[in-house]
Amino acid sequence: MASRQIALKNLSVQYLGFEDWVLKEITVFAPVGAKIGLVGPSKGGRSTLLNLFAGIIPKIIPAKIKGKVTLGDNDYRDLAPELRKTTGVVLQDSASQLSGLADSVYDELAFALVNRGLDPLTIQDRVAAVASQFDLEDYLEQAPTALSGGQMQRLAIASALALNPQFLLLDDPTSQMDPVGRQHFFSWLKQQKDQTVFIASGEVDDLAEVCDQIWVLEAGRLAASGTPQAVFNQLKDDPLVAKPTSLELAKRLKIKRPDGSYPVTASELKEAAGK
Amino acid sequence: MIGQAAIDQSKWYAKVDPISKLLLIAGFTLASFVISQPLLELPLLAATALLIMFSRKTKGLWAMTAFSLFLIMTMLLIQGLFWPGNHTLALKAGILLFYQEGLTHALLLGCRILVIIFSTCFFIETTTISENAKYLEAAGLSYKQVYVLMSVCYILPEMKQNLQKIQLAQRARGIVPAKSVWSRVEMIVPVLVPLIIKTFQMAINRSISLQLRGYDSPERRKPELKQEYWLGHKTHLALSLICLFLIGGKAWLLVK
Repeated sequence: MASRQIALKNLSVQYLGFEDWVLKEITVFAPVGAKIGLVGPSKGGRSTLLNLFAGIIPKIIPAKIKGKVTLGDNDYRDLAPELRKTTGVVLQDSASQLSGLADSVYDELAFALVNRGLDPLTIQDRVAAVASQFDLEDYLEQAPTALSGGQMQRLAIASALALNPQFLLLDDPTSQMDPVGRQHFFSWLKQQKDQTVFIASGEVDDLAEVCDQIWVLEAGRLAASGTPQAVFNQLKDDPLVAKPTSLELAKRLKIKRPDGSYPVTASELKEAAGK
Repeated sequence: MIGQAAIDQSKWYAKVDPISKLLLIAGFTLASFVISQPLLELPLLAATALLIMFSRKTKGLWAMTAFSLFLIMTMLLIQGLFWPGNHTLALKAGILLFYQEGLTHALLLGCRILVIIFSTCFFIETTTISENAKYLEAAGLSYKQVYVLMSVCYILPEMKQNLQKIQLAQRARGIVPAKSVWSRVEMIVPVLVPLIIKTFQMAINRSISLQLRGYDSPERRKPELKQEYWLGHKTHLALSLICLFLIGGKAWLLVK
């Protein structure tokens, strides 16, 4: 699996009833097992791309699709039913992601596991594990609707992870978290190995630390793709794309790395400033 | 879906299963439609009111009753003035002439509305959504059917919850809460369309999420019911027979 790659070839998506194409001829590659951050201004097509990977487009939201998405040598659409079983999705609105039919946080975390027909003991273990990962142990008996916005996002992420997915699709998963919660989440994400993660977020500082690749989507087109270092340096003068604080600071202080690029993470900045 | 308080499983109303409660609503509703005199509706009204009083779950009742009283007053006005069967003058208010037949008819309709509200309120306040869903699924409905049923039943409480969020946001922005009924209506009207759209959008997002989480998977295990209920199937049979009897009675009255 680790040697395979995800490939988008001339991918274009147009929602039915709309004239404009939401995604326009995107060609990009990423290795399976990598963490890919999706950044860019709003209406760039990040959520559409995630919805496509999740199978929401075109199965639930109809759309015209041109081009190809492949996983290894296989068309993604041929693999979709099996892949969906190993894909965890966290939508932008975490409150509406909840089942709505769970009395407690425990039931909510167990929901997808019950749907997979797992036995009660396995469910109990998995729920305990994800609850511990996301500091939800004290809330297991609480009603999901009584949680704060940040707690609900953690619940949505934990619910997606309870299935041990191979693919994780996260659409702005930390928008309602406080800084501590957000730091905790990205620290956890950094430690994940062997999972392919696509994360759309405005937290470019954290994405620069955690992601293997950054894809920048502007008005449906791929403006840049590559390592955080390469991408943020390439787009350092683009006003539409947020840049990491380290890069902004380095630009003002004229601190560069030995290769002439600006640092994009705090550790790179520290290293470059120390030299 | 909506913020419900946990139900104390040791209370008597927790021992009545959800289907029995739904059949009770059906029974009371049918009985109120069989009766054609407002005075005879009073025992039914008393029975449903006592049901909810004994459960001590009157939190949502007052708001629903207040709204229905507004509706009943409107009906009294309109039926009293314009009902086709009006011919006996009951009272005169200036140029307005209220007739006995129209007022009686409006009172009958009003009693029916209150019977439905009280019995439905008993069901909503004493049963969680989750319990309903588990019981219906254990009774044989597919999870998909259960979810559709629950979504329809709880769309109004969900809209109410969204409205409360909007009103809270308005207050945070310095909008003073309206005091009179008319100014409250004026403040709610511009919010109604976005409120309905938001509620439906949330329902769409939820259904997308449920599909992604495999809710219609053939591997899904039926839930284990933790609560023990009184009688169960025998109650269902008895209440169903009563409902059938009431339907038959109404049909016979109509034919007669």
